[in-house]
Amino acid sequence: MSTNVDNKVETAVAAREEKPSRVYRKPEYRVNKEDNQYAVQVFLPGITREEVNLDARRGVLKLETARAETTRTTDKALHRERYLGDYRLELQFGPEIDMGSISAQLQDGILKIRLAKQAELEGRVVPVE
Amino acid sequence: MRLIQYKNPFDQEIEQLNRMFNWAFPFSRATVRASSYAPVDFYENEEGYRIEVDLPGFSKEQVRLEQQDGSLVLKAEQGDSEMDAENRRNVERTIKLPDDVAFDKIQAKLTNGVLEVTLPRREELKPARIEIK
Repeated sequence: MSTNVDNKVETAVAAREEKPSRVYRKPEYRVNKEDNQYAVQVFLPGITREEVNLDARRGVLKLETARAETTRTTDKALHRERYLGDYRLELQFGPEIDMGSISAQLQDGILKIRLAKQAELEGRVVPVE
Repeated sequence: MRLIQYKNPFDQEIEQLNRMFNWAFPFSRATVRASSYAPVDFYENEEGYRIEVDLPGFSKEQVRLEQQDGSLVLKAEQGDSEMDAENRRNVERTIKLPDDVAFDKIQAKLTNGVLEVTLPRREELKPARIEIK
């Protein structure tokens, strides 16, 4: 019995060591509603295109960054204010978003995401034959 | 009549306190407008110093760096470009520089919204190894 518990604890500890829990911060972002689309701006200073992972499905937009190890400096820090970790953001949109039309562009440390509304959201009258 | 803008010297400190508060209580409703605040890192290495400033959304043309009385003055202003009025940001920071910086050799570049300023040490003040004969 006790060995069983021990085993469980060991596997739990091992799993934890394998996958260190990463700390994320929510980036500053803005959502602007335009005529037939949403324009999202996410502030990601210092993040390159390769380090951003953007995933959109079922009305949820997920953003996660993974900074490359090489960006870490070995210089001695005399003063630090910048956040050098990773970001994570989850935005939920209604069914009016056309998930297939989402486009994103990273420029000057700002990720600009465009989410178009579906054209046929209004619904239509179905003729009965 | 003109309104005189009073710039509170403690604004930056308050902003920093806000950031600390947000860091300690990430789920609180208090939000910091990072937009008006440009965080700065200051590093030292063998060649001299390096400053990194987060300036997302600014182009090279919108950033001005000046050296005044041993300090580095950074001003970044967004004109009425693609950003609408409420999103427009102005940033100003003054960074005191160490005495041994070669002021004429300061270089700066802006990549991915981060300004990197390289400040080499003056040649005669670089640590040099003295050979023993």
